[in-house]
Amino acid sequence: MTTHDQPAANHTPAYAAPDLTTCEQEPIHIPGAIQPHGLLLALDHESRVVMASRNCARMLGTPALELVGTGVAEVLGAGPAGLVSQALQSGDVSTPMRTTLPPGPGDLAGEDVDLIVHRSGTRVVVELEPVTTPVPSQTVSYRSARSAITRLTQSATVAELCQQLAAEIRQLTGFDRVMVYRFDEDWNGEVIAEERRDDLNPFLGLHYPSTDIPAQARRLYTVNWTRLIADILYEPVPIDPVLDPATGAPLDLSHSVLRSVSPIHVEYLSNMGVGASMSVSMVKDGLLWGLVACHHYSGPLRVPYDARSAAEFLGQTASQLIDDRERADTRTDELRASVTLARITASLAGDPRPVYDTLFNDVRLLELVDATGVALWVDGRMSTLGDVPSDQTLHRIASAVGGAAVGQATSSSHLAALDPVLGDVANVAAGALHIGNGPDRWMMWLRPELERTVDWGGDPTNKALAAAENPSVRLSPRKSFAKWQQVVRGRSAPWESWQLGAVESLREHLSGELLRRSHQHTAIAESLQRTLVLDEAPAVEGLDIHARYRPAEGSQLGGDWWDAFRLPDGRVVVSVGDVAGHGVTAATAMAQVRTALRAYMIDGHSPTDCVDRLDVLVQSLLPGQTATVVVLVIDPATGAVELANAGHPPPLLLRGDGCEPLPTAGRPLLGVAFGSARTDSFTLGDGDILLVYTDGVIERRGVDLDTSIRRLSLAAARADHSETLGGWIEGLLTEAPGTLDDDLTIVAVRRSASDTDGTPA
Amino acid sequence: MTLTIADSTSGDFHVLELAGDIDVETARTLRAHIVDRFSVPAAQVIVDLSGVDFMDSSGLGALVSGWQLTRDDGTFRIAGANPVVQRVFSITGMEDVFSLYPSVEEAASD
Repeated sequence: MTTHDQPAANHTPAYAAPDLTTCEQEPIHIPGAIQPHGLLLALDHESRVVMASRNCARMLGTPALELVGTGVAEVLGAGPAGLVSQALQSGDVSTPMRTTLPPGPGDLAGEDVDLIVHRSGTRVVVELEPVTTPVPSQTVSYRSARSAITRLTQSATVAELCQQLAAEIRQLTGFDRVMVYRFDEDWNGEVIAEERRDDLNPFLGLHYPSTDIPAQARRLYTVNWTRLIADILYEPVPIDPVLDPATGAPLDLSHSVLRSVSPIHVEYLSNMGVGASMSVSMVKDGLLWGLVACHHYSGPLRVPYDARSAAEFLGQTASQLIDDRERADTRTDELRASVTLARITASLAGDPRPVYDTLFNDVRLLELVDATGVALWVDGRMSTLGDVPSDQTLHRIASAVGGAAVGQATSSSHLAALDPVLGDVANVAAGALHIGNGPDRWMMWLRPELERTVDWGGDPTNKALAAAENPSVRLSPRKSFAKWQQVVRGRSAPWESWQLGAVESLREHLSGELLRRSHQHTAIAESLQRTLVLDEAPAVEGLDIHARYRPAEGSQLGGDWWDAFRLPDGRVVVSVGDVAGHGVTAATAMAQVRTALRAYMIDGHSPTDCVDRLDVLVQSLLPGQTATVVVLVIDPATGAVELANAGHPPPLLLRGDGCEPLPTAGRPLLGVAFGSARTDSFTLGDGDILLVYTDGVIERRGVDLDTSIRRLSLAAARADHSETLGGWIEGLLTEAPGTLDDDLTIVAVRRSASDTDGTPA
Repeated sequence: MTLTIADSTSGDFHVLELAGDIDVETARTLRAHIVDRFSVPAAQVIVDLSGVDFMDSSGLGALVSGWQLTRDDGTFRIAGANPVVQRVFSITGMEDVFSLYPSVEEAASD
């Protein structure tokens, strides 16, 4: 710690010797001294000198302490004093005024000076700098300023803008090196543009930890936009008295142009061999965005006030342009992301594979947000692309970053800060961008720690840089870099807001695509359901027909169908069939087979003919598909039945108390183009029930089909069929529930010859 | 629950040894595997079902695919079907379509 209350009689700083390790606490705005290339007066409200820099003795011919109590007109002459009161009255204290001091004893007598006035607390601070003859390049004209601004405005990106600014300021001031230094959100800095003498080492790309420019220095940079150290080896000029008699504190020199510099800063610059330096603040919306840092290695450099003002003006002009260039940069990035997104979504729409399978085969998913890994957790399944840690770690990251966020992207560029354990995987995942709906459904992009990805323009192992430093050097760019590495260890490059936007857009596209597909499925399913699965059988005199369809668990589309319709000759066709497989393909095939069968039957073909024709149809029009079918043609008047079966489980005939399967299929499956059907003929007696079903009723893992069929027969005989067929089927399904993995269909036909009014029971 | 597929040879035949259950879940994999084996001209394949306990209609569909692919060019034989699987063939009328053998050895030496 340093102390403030120990007045130094004749030396700067006005506080105790600083601790170089604690520059965060250094009160740099009250050094109690100025640089020697000008003089400073502090006036009270009646314009009398209260404090003065000690060099007044040389410059004005009167020792500082002797000036105390003297009116400013007496000290500087009527003309300059008039300018001071004019500046104060107009409230414009920022503009320097060029004036000439009256003749007299001091060095500045009769000389042209720049006079700068500002308020500090209750005091008016007047600073004088002699006007030096500028080198030609430092001459500022309206024309040169205007063309400089034109060149700045022609830049398209932030990088170009800063490069141009560095070039203009170097041209204007003559510094050996001019850098543009940009702060990140944590106030760490990076050199993003540089103009330098050809023989100098590049500093471009160097990173500095936030501690290099501590908060109080940043505050000064924010209020006072230029800072010149004309000669790094200067002897600081104390202010007499060092403490303001009214407050007992040193004068606040925050806004002073001559303010003496922190010895820590001087040491830092000396270590780099800097002879003179200047900084120009880049302030955007009242916040320090960056700095233009100028170094001179070939001795002192006196930059005239005009040139400094011009540099400051260019810096501010550039600062005004940053927003626009950042927006342009962002727009470019956004545009790139939206093109990538469009390509991803286009390929999703055109790919029949499941959405996520397609997505995770597309490296553009990484490019979308400049990630190196991406993972998806959905329906209990993990899909990944690129470099990712273990599934367990992925879940841990997801819960750390995603939390309870639903639908909104969240991100972190420092996972270890959220969960220290995650520090171990920083080489693959130091930062994550997460979007999802809770812990069961999320997608996450990952980036490794920054250290691995920084492109080092300023190589920390740079030999020339290392040679310029001896081992005792405490402060240097190399040391700063090492410190910065500590600071950013475990951190990834930050996620930009447009990147969060990009994944939110992707999410919308994905839900849209999933919804579209599920709508498509549902729409097809519903229309098929309407077309194929009759709500109820047609009423036929003498026959009682009842059917029951049960979809597979999860409403997956199945290939079952049943049908019942009357032929022109009065006979009734009942068919039950099953196309192998599930989903839209099976359902579509089923629709075609069912329709074709109707057409063949109405054309007058026999059931066997129809079945053989269906075989050819399936084989030629639906390659790879197979189906089974039972076709019954029943004469309600006589009970005569013709039956053809292609690969289908045998129907059951319930007669009295007995229930027996009919003979098995006369021909193989539809779709094999092999064999021909056989007609089974029999008569359905009064009260006899025919039961036709699909394999969903009898297929059970580990149970052979004969056993299943026997069970079904027994259940059919036992179940109460004295009442409605619907009740009987329900009872049957309770006793022989069938499988839930497959859809199932049961159709029962009862002959009821006595029921002459034609109304089914 | 699961189906494993192993490739081997017996005589001039490529043998697909299946073990486990062939149901709607595994039939797709089996079909893909069979189609792959039959992508060469005049393929001679025996599907060994001796390790299969259960097969439903989707599994049958996969075998039918194989049979269809070798119809005009190649040989497709099925060996070792247990009675449960055998019954699936007979009920669906496929026992007359497929060339069925009690064992791989018999299928390969026929």
